[in-house]
Amino acid sequence: MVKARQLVVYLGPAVVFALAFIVFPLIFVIVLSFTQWAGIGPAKYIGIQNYTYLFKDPAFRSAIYNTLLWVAAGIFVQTPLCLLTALIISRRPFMWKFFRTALFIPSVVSTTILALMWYFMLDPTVGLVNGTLNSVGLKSLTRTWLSDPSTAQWAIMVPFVIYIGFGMVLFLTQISTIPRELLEAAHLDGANVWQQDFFITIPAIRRAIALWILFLVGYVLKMFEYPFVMTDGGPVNVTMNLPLYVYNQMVTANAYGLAMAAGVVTVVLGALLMLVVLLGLRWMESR
Amino acid sequence: MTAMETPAAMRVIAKTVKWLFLIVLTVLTLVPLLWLLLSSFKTTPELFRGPFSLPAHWSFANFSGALDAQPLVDYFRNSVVIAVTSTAMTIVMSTMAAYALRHRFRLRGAVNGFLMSGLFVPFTAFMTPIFYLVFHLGLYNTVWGIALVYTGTTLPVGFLIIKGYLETIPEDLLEAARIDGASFHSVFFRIVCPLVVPGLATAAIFLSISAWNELLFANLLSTSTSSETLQVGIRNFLTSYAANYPEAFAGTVMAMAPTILAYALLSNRVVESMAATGLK
Amino acid sequence: MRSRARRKTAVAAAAVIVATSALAACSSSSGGGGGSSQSSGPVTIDVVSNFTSDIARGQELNDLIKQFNAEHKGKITVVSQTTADWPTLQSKIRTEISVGGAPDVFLYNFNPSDLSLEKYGSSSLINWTKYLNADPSWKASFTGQDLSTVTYNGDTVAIPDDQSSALIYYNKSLFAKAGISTFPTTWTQFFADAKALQAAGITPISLYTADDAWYAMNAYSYLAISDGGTGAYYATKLQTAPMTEAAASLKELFSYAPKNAVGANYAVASASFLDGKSAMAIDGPWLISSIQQDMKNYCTDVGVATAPTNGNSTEQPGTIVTDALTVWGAAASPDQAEQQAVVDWMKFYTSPDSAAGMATTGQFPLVVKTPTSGPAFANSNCLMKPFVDLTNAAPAKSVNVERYMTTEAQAQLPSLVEGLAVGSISPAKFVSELQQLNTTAP
Repeated sequence: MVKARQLVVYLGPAVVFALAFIVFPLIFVIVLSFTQWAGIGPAKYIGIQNYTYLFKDPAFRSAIYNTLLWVAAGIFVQTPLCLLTALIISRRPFMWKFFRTALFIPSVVSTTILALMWYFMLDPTVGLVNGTLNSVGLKSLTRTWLSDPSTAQWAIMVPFVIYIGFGMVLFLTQISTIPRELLEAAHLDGANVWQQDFFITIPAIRRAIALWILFLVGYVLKMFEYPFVMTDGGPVNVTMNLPLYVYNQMVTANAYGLAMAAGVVTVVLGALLMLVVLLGLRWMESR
Repeated sequence: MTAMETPAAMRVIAKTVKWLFLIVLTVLTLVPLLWLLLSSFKTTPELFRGPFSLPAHWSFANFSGALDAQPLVDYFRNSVVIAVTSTAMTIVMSTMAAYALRHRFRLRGAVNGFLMSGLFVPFTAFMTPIFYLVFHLGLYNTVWGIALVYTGTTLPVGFLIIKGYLETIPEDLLEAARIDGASFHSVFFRIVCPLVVPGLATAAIFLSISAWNELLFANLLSTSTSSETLQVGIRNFLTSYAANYPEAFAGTVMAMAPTILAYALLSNRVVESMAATGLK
Repeated sequence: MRSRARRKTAVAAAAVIVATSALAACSSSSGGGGGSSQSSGPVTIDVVSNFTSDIARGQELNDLIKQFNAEHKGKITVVSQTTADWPTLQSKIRTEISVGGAPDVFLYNFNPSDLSLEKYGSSSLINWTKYLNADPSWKASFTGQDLSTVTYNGDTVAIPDDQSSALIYYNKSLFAKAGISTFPTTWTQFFADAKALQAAGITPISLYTADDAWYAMNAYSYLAISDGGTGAYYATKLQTAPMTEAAASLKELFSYAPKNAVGANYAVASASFLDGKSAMAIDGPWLISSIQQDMKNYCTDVGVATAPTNGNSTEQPGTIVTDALTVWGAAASPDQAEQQAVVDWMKFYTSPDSAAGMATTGQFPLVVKTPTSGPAFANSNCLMKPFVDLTNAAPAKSVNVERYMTTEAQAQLPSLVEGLAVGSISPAKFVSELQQLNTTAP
C-alpha cells in the first residue's frame, strides 16, 4: 500500500504543473470562447456566436479539413514509411549506421528552418524541385507549387511526410527489444524476411506504433510552422490549419474570443481523434 | 512459401526495391540540407541565378555577417539551457508520477487520465493565460520562464512515454524487493529507475528536441537576448526588412551544426544503451 | 536505508523549491517588462519597436539612445528592444498591457477601426495632454491634424512618430532594357510599359500577399484613388464603384508580378526588386536603406516616382498613399521619476536634431516638423531627397486602404487578395467581402 504522503511527494509536482499549464489555461480558454475580447479591456459575453461564426467560416472549415488530412497522411503514409525504414534498418544492411543518422538529422533541426528550406526548394524560379525537373527535361511538370491552390496543399505536406527520423528511431528501439530467438526460430521454420516482419516484428511493436500515432495526432494539432512559414495559410486558405487559424485570430485579428472557441474545437477534435485511434487499435488487437 | 521456395528473381527484386527506397529517402532528406549548406556560401544574386549555380568565391562572409546580424551564440546558449532544464524537470516529475501510479489507490485512474489528457491541448490558444502566469511569477524574459512553460506543456508527452516503459517492469520484481524490506523510495531509486533508463533516454530525446524546436512561446516570453532562443533568432532572419537569404542560411547552418554533431556523436551511445538495457 | 533515501528526496525537493523562488525573486527585481526600478539606481526605460539594427532607422535609434544615455548618465538608461516581425510585436504589446505589464515605450499603428488600445489601455498608459500643454514649443512641433488623430476623449494618448509615404521605386536600367525612358504618368501607359517589360523578360512589379500584402495594397490604394479620388474609400466605406474597378486592375497587375507572388512575404518580394529581378516596388522610405546595401549604382539605376493617374480630374497628379500614423504609447508609472524619464526621452527623440538625424542617417522621416535647411540635409542621399521632395509636394494624401480596416478584415486580407489574384473570387466579391468584414466592427 502506498501512503498518502508518498503520493503527494511523487505525484504532487506533476499534478501541480498539469493544473497550472493545462487546467487553468483550459478553463480560461473555455470561458473566453463565449465572449468577444480584443486582448485588452473587458470581455463581452456573446453566447455561442463565436462557434456559429466558426462553422460558417470557410477558412475554419478548410482548417478542419486540413487537420484531418494531415492526420490521415500521418497514419497512412508517414507511419508506414517510418515502419518500413525501421524494419529495413533493423536488419543492419550495409552502412546502416549512416542511414540511421542521416535520416534522423532533420528531427534535430527546427521546424521553422525546415519550413524555410522547403519554401526555397519549392520556389518556382530558384527552387531545387523545379530546377531538377527542368534539367531532366520534365519542364511540363513544373508548377508554382506554393502559389497554386491546387498544389499548395500537397506541397506543404512533403516535409511532414518524408521526415521519418523520429518514428524510425522509436520503432528501432522497440524492435531491438524483441528477443533474437523468436526471429531465428521463425527463420528456421522457413519464414522469409517479410513474413518474419509481418507476423512477428510488427505485432511485437504495436504498442510503439500506437504511441507514435497518438503523437502524430497531437503534433498535427499543434504544428503551425509549415503552413505559417511556407504559405501563410494560403493561397486562399487552402493550407490553413487549426493552430494557424487560432494564431491568426489572436495575433492579427485581435479576436481572442474567436481564437479561444477555435481552440476549444481543437481540443474536442483531438479527444475524438484519440478515441477513434484507440478504438481502432483495440479492434485490431481483438481480431 | 518458405525461404527455399522464394524464387531468386523475387529476392533480387525485393532487395533492389529495398535499396531504392532507402537511397531515395536518404537523398530526399539530405539533398535539401546540402543545398542549404551550399547556398550559405553564395551571394544573393548568385542565389537567384538558379538552384544549381556554384558560388564564385567560397567565403565565410555570410557566416560572420549572420553572427553580426544576430547574437546567435547567446541564442544558442539560451536554447541549450532551456532544453536541458525543461527536459530534466519533466523527466523527473514524469518518472515519479508514473511510479506512484503503479500502486493502487482511490483516484488512480482519474490522475492517470488527467495527466495524459494534456496531449491534445491547443497550446496556441493558451498564449494569454500562460503569459499571465509567467509574468506574475516574475519570470518574463528569462530562460527559466520559458523552461517552466516547456516543462508544463510537454509533461503529458513525457509522462506517456515513461509510463509506457515503467509499466513493462514486472510486478514480481517490485514485490520481491518489498518483501526484502525495501521502502517505497528505495524500490523507486534502486530498482525502477535503472530499469527505466531506455524510456528516460527516449523521452529525453523527444523532450529536448521539442523544446529546441519550439517557436511560439519562445517568441512570446522573451524580448531580449537574455532569453531569446535560437528559433526566435532564425525567425528574425525570415521577416527582417533587409532580406539577405544567404546570410540567413549561414545562420541556419550554424544553428544546425552543433545539434547534428551532438546527435551523430551521441546517437550510438543512446541507441546502444536503449537496446542493451532493453527488457529481456 | 529508508531514512537516507527519504532525506535525499526531501533535500532535493527543498533545493528545487529554494532555487526556484530565489530565481523568481531575483528575476522580478531585475525587472520584467514593467520596468520596476530600484530607487537608488538609474531609471531603465525599454523602448519597444521594430527598428531592428540591421537597417538604418534601427542604427539611428541606437545612436540617439547612446547620446541620450550619455547626457543622462547615472539617472536614465534607455534600452532598445526590437522585434522584426510587426504582428508578433503588436500581439506581445497587447498581451503585456492586458496582464498589467505595459512596456515603458512602445510603437503601434493608429487605426480608427480598432480603438481598443486607446479605449481600454488608457488607464495604464501615459496621458500626454498635460506634458504637451506644459511645453508649447514641443506641442508645436506636431501638426494639429496629427495631434487630433491621437486624441481620444479629449486626451492625447500617444505621441506621433511617422506617417511614411509609399512611393514607387523603379529600376531605371531595367526600364531602359525594355525601351522605356520616362516613368509612366497614366495607368494606360503604365500597363503598356508593364507589357513591354514582360516581353523583355523582366518582371514588371514586385507584389506579395502574405502578412499585410503591403505592396499589393499600396497598388490597390493608388488604383482606387485614380478611379474615385481620395474619397474612394475610408475605413468602413469600402464597397464603392472605384474600389471594384481598382480590384479588377489589381488582378491584372498580379499577372505582371513574380511567379511566387501569391504566398510570398515582404522579404521575398523586396528581394525580388533589390536583386534586380523586378522593375518596380511600391514601398516606404525604409527600402532605401536596403537599396543602398544591396544595389550597386543605385543613384543612377533607381528612381522614385508617384503613381500614375487616369489622366482626368478625379485625382491630382502627385497624390500619395501613406502608411498609417505610427505612434508611441507609454506605460503610466506611479513612480514620478520614471514617468518624467519617459517624457524626457520622448522630447529628446522628437527634438528637431533627432528628427533630422532620423530623416537623413536613419532614412526614416518622422512627422515632427523638421527644418530641412540644416547641414544634415545637405548630403541627403540621392534617393531620400526625391522621396522627401515628392512627399512634401503632394497635393493630397490618403492612408493605405488596409491600415484603417478592422483587424478581422486585416486577418482575412491575404486570403482575399490571393483569391482575387488566382481568380477564385471576382473583383465585386472581393470588395463586398471586405465591406462585410469591416461592418462587423465592435
